[in-house]
Amino acid sequence: MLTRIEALKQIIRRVNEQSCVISPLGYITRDLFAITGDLRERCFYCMGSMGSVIPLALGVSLARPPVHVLAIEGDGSLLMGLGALVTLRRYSRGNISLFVFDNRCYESTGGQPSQPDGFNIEDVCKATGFPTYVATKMQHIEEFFQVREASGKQSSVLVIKVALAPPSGRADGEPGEIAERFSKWLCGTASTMSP
Amino acid sequence: MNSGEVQRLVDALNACGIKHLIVVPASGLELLYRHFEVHGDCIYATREEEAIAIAAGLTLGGLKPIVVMAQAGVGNTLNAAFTLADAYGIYFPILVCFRGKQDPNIVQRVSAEQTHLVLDALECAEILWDASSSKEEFAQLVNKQQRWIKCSL
Repeated sequence: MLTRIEALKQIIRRVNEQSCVISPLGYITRDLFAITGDLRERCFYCMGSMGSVIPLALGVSLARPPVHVLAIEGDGSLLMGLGALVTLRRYSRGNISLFVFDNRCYESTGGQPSQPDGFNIEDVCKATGFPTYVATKMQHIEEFFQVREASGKQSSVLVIKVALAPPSGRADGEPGEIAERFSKWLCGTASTMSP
Repeated sequence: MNSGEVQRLVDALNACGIKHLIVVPASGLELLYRHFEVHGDCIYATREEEAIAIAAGLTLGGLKPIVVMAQAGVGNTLNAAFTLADAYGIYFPILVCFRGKQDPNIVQRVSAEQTHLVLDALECAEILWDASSSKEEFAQLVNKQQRWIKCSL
């Protein structure tokens, strides 16, 4: 099984001048912050608002259609706002890739279970109509990007099965600066791209 | 809201360059939704905190949205409003529509009474939409980045 930071590094390798990343509160944002020192302007690190990554990413994607939004969620966080998957299905223009980091628990609060036995979060994603894939190896993440490129612009979901692992240090960015930098990039560089 | 009041609200939003309406539908605002479906962008969210996050994303992308909701949705918004919109300094107005303390639905009366207390604590402004000056009043509130604005349905 992949570790969280291994999977994040594999995703970040695919960030280019036309893409941005949005991450959820907790260990994922902490790890993402630790490995994206050179990508600060293209990362929005949520440090609260559990369950808001998908609608936040939807808003960004609608405002800036040329940008490929890489939205990262945890399984527990996704479950907090499942309705957002339906809203995403309704309004997405195809420029969002959703990565669900599935460790089947609320890791940062002590590992309480997030799903019952026999429940698979990917089934929920599939039921909303998104092309949904599952990654258990690094190569599956790369294959996901390759499938997206081959199939054209289409929003899709990759559920990544991740192991429990200690987190990086807390993200020490000031929220207002994170938002201002991210917005400036979106409205500046990103606005000049061709769709 | 009657059609005249809705039209004043539409005029006020247009004057502020707001073309994106994010809503969890509330009774009494059908004319507003219809206007934005035709003349702008009307996004129906499944829950109020989802509406807040969509509006935050649109704002980060350089657009000017407004979130409109019934009073019963205020409680649902608070985590997203505090830890996303407020904490990151992402401004857009949130318009809360009250069905009134005389609503025939008794639980909505309780909701209206309690939610007024919450919005008072949040220093919510109020617009009646019953006069032509409502448009300028709204523009002034948006200019000073007033987050919470309430009105009656």
